[in-house]
Amino acid sequence: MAGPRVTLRDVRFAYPNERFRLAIDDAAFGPGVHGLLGPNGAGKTTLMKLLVGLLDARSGRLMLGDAAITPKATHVRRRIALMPQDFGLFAGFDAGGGLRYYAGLHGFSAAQARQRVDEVVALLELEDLLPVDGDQLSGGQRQRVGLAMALLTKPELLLVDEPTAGLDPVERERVLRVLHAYGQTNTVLLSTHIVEDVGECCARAAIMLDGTLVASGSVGELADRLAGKLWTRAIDSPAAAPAGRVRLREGALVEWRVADDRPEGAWRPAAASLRATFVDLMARARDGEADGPS
Amino acid sequence: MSYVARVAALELLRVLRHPVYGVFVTATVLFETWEVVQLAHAPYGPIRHDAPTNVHLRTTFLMLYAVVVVVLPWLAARVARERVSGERAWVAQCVRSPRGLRLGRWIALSLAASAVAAVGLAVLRLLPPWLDPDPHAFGGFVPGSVLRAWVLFALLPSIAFGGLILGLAERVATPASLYGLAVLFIGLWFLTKNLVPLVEAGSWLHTAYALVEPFGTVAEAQSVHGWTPDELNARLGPLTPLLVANRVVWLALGALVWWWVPTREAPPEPRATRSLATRWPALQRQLTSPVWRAGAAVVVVAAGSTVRSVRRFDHTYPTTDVLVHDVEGLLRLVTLGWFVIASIRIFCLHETRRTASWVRSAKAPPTRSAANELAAMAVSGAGLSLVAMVALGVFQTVASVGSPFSMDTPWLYPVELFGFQFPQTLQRGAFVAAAAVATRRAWVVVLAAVIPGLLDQAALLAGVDSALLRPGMNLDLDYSFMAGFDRQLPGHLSYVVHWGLFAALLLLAGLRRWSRWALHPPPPARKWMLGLSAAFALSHGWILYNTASLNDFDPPTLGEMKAAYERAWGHVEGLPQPVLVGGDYAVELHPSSGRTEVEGILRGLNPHATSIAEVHMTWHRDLQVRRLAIGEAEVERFPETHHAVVRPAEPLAPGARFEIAWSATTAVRRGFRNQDRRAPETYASEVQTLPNGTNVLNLHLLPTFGYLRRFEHAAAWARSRYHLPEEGALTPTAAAAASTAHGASHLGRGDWTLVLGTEAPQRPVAGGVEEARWEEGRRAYVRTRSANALGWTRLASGIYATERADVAGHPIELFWHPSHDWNVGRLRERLEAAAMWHAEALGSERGRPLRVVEASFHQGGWGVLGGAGFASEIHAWKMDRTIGSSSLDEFARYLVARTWVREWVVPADVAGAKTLHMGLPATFSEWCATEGDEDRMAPPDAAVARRERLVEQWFESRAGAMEPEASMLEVFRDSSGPRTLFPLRMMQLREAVGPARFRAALVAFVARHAAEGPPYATAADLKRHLARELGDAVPWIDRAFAVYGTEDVRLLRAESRGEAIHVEVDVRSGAIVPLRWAVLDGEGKALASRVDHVPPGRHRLAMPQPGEAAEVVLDPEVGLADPSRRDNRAPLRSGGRSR
Repeated sequence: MAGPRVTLRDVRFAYPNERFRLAIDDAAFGPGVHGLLGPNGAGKTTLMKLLVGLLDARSGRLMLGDAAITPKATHVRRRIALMPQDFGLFAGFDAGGGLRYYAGLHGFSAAQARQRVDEVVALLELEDLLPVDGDQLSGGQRQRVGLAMALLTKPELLLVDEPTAGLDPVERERVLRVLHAYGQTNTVLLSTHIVEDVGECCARAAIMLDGTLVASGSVGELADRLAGKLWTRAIDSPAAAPAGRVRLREGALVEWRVADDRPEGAWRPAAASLRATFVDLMARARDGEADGPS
Repeated sequence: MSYVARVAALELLRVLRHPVYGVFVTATVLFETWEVVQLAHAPYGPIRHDAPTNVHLRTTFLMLYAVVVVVLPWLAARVARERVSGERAWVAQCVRSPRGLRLGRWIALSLAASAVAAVGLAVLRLLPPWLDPDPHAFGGFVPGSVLRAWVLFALLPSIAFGGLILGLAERVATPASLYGLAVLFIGLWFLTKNLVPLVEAGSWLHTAYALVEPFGTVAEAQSVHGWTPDELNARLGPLTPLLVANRVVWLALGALVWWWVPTREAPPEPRATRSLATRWPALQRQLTSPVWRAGAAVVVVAAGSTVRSVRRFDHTYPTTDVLVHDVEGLLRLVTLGWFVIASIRIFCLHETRRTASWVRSAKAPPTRSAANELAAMAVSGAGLSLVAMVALGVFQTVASVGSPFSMDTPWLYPVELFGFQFPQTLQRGAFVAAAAVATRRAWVVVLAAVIPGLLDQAALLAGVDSALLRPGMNLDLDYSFMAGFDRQLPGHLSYVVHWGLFAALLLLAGLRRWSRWALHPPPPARKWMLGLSAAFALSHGWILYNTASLNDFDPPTLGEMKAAYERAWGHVEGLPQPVLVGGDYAVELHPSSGRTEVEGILRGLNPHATSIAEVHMTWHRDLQVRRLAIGEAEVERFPETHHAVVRPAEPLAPGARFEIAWSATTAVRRGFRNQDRRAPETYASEVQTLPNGTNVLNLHLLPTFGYLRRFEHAAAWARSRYHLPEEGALTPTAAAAASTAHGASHLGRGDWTLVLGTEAPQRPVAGGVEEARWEEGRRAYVRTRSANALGWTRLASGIYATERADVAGHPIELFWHPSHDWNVGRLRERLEAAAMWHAEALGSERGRPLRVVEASFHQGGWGVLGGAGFASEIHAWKMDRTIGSSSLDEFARYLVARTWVREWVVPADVAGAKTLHMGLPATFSEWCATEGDEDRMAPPDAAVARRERLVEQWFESRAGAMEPEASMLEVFRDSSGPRTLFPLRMMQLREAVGPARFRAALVAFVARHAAEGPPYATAADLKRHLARELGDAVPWIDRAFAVYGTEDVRLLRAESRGEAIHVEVDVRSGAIVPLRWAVLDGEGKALASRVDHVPPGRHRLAMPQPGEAAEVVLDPEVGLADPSRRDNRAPLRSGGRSR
């Protein structure tokens, strides 16, 4: 597997109003597809913008291979692309025109732009969509065009922010497949709060809460963190359980708990999963537990 | 660089293919075509396109307003909108060269914006030749002129302001801020441009302002000061250091802002508006929007500019003049702009922000939400008018501190703003809002804003002039202090209601379409639609009843009437016809009903050596003739052409005198007309009696003998338009003079007795010697006798205050509206001063009364006829301080000069007759002004200042072309040429012969003809007199008055050789030029000067060496109509070439 290694050391960032702070002491993403899980507001998009050089960290180092990523390091930034969560297609163009226009802004000549657009169009199966206006595209089609725009420059580091939000299963599958294929030769960071995307597409993942990476590792490792420690019991109403520890299973409400030993009562063991690990971390963070699950 | 060029090309292509850009280009083409049509095919004739007004002001203002306020913000708005649309996330990743990308965008924006201006300029300069048949009406296509205008007024401002606005666009998320900035920018410019002239001319502030003024117009104007239209068209303006510095300052500022912006951290992306009307009350949100605040700021700025008017015309702050002239146009634009932007923000942009689903699923019916927004828009739009009114009041109150005047009609402000202006703007705002609600497309909204104007111009181009085809265009409404709205109000209000209903229908239709997008559409408002449709149909019917049933829906225009008259009666031109030599007639004015009646006996004479078998008579088109009889003669009338043919039983023998029984009345007007552009006489006819302040010319109430040549179309463009045969310029000949229809009288003095009656308490006033004044029943009468040259006089009626003064036996009577006594004291003072000057200069001539009467705005203008001066209420009664053609001083001098020398000089058969006929009073007026000023000012300064003004006036209406004097038969039309040319020539005479001799010659002429009987002085007499008295010193006098042209003199060489100064000059003129030239020392002080009479061509002149000479200057005191003064000066060289 080729692709650059992304490393973060002592990265600190805050918006001017100081209402959100990001602090990552040490993290690394090697070649392949990495999942970045986190609830809304966890800082995933901010991290993505830092990695693509749209924001400047107050301190610390973000490295792409041996090169530091900063807003002014345009030679490094050229190797990175971000497919934003909330993007727009260039108004006044059809999908093909928008892609060629964007390629032009990247400095491709007309011939180069045509060639590169043809490549990403083939990769993402966009042939039928080229003459369609941006306004007329469905959600999935739009995401694919957005992914094509991000892939135009053949980035060594591809950052994708919530690419499958709102997509039907077929479109979702198609987007994930492309990311997976691209990750074979490059580094892809897939930011999402849809746990299944990470489980299906990524070999490794990190979980982010309140601007901090709280866990990372292979998807299997993360999923197995609660093996033998996850317990559930049926309840009649959400009020019967602590906040954040209720979920639905097969149409019934259940309370879940993490414990080394089986709690007293009608508790049954439950299967560990990446989703359970993610939710547990979120709950602990909300409850103010400094440490992760035991 | 290639990357920058590629980005620029990409951006340019993206802009060019956008439909809104096409709308801009199309609108510019149409607008400028309209400009051309307006100028070339105006009902009053073509306006010269090579006048500086057109090339400079029009291009400057139109292009600046259009490009800076509309096109540039629109182009930059795409960048601002990237933040909201999400495009920004992509663009920010284009790191090939961030500066290069931004530079490419800047270039594209500047080119796209200035291209719109280029299209406009091209239309302005390229269309005229084939639109207008008269090649002299427009200057030729001069690429340099177009290039200069485009570079200076479009490209450079686009680049400079483009940098500013693009920089801002990268910082803000709402396009509205950009439009607000642009409007504010223009507003500040407008304000400063108006305020700076308050400062003394030539001060450092002027230079400083020229340096920092954003568009370089001031610096450019300074660099071409004194240039003639020909020069402005044919030459590129010099890049003076000031102009270059100005351009550099603004380009640097634009570049600085552009460069500085990205160094700052980008702001957080804004959040989308959640819903339309739930977050804040609609009105509160609109009133606090930056766009509205920017609009309000502009309105305040515009109101602030009234300070200039207040200072300049210190009368005006009690009136609405400043409102009309300075604020209203801008207010209308700002308000309409507000409707456009607010509509786009509210009804279109939420789609971009992806909040439409909130609207659709809102609990409140969406129609109600939209209606709330629309109502809030109407109120906030009216709020701008309120801001204007308050600001005007504040500024004018402050400016009037210490003034003796007071505001006596404050109610006019709200009436004007909210009663007449805002409804029209609101109608157009409703069109705009309806387009936004129905289509949710921004470009459709912009289109809806300009469509009424486009339709208006299309109708004009098609020759259709019905207000029913001009949506949102109400009939004009003029308010007169004396006569109120006269009879205009019903028509105006009818159209307000009509188009108001139309706007409401459009809005309702738009709202119904809007509701279809909702999840829970409200029940369809069929009843409302039906009700509005019925009301609209009713108003349409009402208008048709008034315009088509009570009036002629498509009345012939004055131009069509003239053409029809010529076709019907042109063949009798040249037929010997009688002349009027006097009469006893009575005119009854009826202010309450608007009727005017005239009845009397007129006396005619056959002045020819042949008998007259057939008498042709013509009268004013608005008169209905009751009786027309010459003895028992057969009378055949032709009502369509207002003409009659009278065949006496016996032909009128040579020298025969006869009487005509004449009785006529004006028609009482009913209803209103459907148009107001082609026939300005629609509302207040020349012969109509007004409710107060009537001002009628007696000529229009009496018949005219013979073919009325002056009713013909004279201009080539007009003859071509009406398919009349070409007619060469007439030179004054005996035959032409003999066949001329002479209005009310012959070319000599008549003997007229007039009884003028009106409804008491109004007072009748007319020219001539007042014999009696009495009241009978409820009517007041005056009887006058007069014997002036043409028998003309004004007939006035109104409720007047009066005052009488006597200056050296010269009675002056003033009649004015009782509440307009602001300037009466000063007017009397000026009249007395002018009369005193005339008495001292020409000798007292007792007994000639001068009556000055204030007249209604509806029959405005100013002048003096038969000893009765008249002035519209917006003129003499309100003017002061201005050193210009409309000042109170000017007015007084003109009135007195015209009264003193009257219409003595009959326009007889001699070359230059028109100039000689019209020019004498103008000369005395100028002379009086010059010498009057010399009493108070340093004499050389005053004389030169007035000469400069005269020359400027000459150039304002004439290019450099040499042409013979126009037909003397046009003397009653444009008289500005002869009125300027004659004083210019007299100035030169004075230069040539010296003031004492010149004065003695004129005084002798006046004294000789002051009280004589027939035969009266003619143009030939005046010319002979001048030639006899002064001809020995002025060999060029023979052609002096007959040739319209310039005297372009150039100093080619100035050398000092031995004891003499030698110069070589090049004279381009149609006649010998009296050339004064002077030798100056090193400090610019004249050491010696002399006058040489130089024929056209190159000539060598010489004078003795006067001393330490350093420089030579031609025409140092501005005595010549020289189109280029820059080549009149050269340093003196010792035996070498100076240039």
